[in-house]
Amino acid sequence: MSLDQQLGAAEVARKVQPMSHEQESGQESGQQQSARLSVQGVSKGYGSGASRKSVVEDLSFDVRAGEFVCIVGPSGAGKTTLLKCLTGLHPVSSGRVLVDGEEIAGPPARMAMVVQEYTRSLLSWLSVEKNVALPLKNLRLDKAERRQRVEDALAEVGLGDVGRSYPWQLSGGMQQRVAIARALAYRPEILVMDEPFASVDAQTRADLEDLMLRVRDDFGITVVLVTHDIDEAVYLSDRVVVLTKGPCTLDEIVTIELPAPRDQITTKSQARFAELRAHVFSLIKANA
Amino acid sequence: MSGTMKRRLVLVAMELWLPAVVVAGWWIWSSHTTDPFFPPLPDILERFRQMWLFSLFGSDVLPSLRNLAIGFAIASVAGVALGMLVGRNVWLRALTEPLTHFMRSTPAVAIVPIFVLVLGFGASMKISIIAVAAVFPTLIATIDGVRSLDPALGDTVRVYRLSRRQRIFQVLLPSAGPQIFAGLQVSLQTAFVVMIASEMLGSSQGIGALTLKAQQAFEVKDMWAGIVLLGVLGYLINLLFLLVRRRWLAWYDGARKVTNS
Repeated sequence: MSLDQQLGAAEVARKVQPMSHEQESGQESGQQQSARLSVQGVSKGYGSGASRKSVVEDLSFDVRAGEFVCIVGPSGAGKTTLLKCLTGLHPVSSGRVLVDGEEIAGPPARMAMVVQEYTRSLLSWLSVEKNVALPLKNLRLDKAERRQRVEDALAEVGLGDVGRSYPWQLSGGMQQRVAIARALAYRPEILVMDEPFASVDAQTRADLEDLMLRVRDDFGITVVLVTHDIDEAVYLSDRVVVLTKGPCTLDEIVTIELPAPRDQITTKSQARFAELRAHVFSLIKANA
Repeated sequence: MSGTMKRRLVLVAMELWLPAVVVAGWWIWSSHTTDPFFPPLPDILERFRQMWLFSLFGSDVLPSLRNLAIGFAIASVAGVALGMLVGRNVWLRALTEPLTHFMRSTPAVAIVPIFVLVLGFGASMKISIIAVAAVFPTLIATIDGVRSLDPALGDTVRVYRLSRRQRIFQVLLPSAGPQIFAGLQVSLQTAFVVMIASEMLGSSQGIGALTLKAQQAFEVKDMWAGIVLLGVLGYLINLLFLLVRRRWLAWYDGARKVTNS
C-alpha cells in the first residue's frame, strides 16, 4: 500500500501507531494498563478451508479510558463484524480483545451498544420508557433512581414527552434516539455504536453528536463509534482508526488534536479540521 | 355519527349478512319439508331449547367444556414451555424434530382408541387426549417463533446482559407472541374436535355422546340440535380466543397497521 505517497503532500502531523503483537503481549507494559479496550492481533473469518472468508485480519489498536474513537473505512470493510468481536458477541478467530486488561469471552459488564438496525433492537411490545428501563433492572438501582435515569436519558435525546408511546409509533430518527437513550441510561463504561446517526436529519445529527461529546465528558464514558461519515469521525474523535477494505486491517490511526470542547461551527471551520478531514478522506479513497 | 363508527357498523353488517341469509334460507326451505333427515329448523331450535337451555347443560355441556378448558390449558402451557426449550437448543431440536412432525401428522382422532384402552372412558382420558392432540400446533409454532428472534434483538439482550427471567418473559415470549397465538388457535380447534371425538367413543355423557346417540336412535331433531350447539360453541370459543389475542398482541397489530399504512 502506498500510503506515504498519498499523505506525502499534506503536512499532517499524524501519529501512526502500528502495534505489533510482541509489544502488546507484555502484560505489565504501561500501554496495557491505561487501555480500557485493547484489540490485539484480532482476526475473524467465516467458514473453513478453501471457502474460508477472512473479514478481519490481524488488527490491533487500543482505546484509552475516556477516549472517543471513531472507526472508519470503505464500505464493506467488515466494520460491523469488528464491532461484534469488540463487544464479545462473536468470538474472534485468533487474537484477543481485552477490557481493562482482561480478555473477554462474551459481552463484558458495563458495556452498551447501539446497533445499526436500531429499529429491530427495540422491543415493540414495551413502551419507550420500559425499553430504556429494561437493562437497568440488573444494576441494582432503587426504583427512584431508575426512573430518574430513564427520564434524564429520554430528556437528553429530546424525547421527554414520548415515554409512554411504543417505538413503532415514532419516526425512524426518534427510534434511533430511543436506542441511544437506552445506552445512556445504562451509564456504561464503554459505549459501542454502529452508525448511530445514519437516519436522523442534519440538525438532530449535530445535536446528537454534541450530546455524545457531553456525555463522554460528564461520565467519562469510553466511546467507540463506527461511521462512514468522515466529518463526523474527525469532529467527534480523539483518534480515528482507519481500516482498509475487507478483509479489514489497520490502515492508520489518526490522532485528532483539535481543541476541546468541540463546536459544530468553530471546530469545523478550523484549517486543521479541514486538513485532518482531507487526510482521512484520502486514506479511505486510496483503499476503496 | 363519526366516520370510524360508521365504518365499524358497515363492517359488522358485512360480517353478519351472509350468516343471516343462510339461516333465513334454511328456515324457509325447511319449514314445509317432510324429509325425515332435514326436519324444519323451528323444530330443531325448539329441541335445542328443550335440551340445552338448560336441562342438559349442567350434566352434558359443562363437563365437555371443562375437559376442553383443562386439556387446552395443559396443551398451551406444555407447548409453549417445550417450544421455548427446544427452539433455543439446536441439539434438542435435532433430537425431537422427526418425532414432533410424525406426531403432528398423525390425525388426532386416530389415537383416541389407544387412550380409551389405557385410561378408560373417564374424564382423565378425555382431558389427556385433548392435551396430547392439541399440544403439537402450539409446540411447533413456538419453536418457530423462538427461532426467528431478530438477531439485532438477540445482540441487544446479550450486550445488556439481561437476566434469564428477562430474556424469557420480556423478550423471547413476546417476540414469539404472534406465532404462538397462531399456533394456539390451531390447537384450540384441534382440542375442540378431539373433545367431541373423545365423547363419541363409548361415552354416555357429553355433547358428542348425545349427538351420536341421537343419530343412532334416529332422533334426527336431537342430532341437529347437538350439531347446532357444537357450531355455536365453536364460534363463541373462537371469538373468546380472538378477544384474548387482541389484548396480548395489541402492540403487534398496532405496529403492523403502521407499517402497512
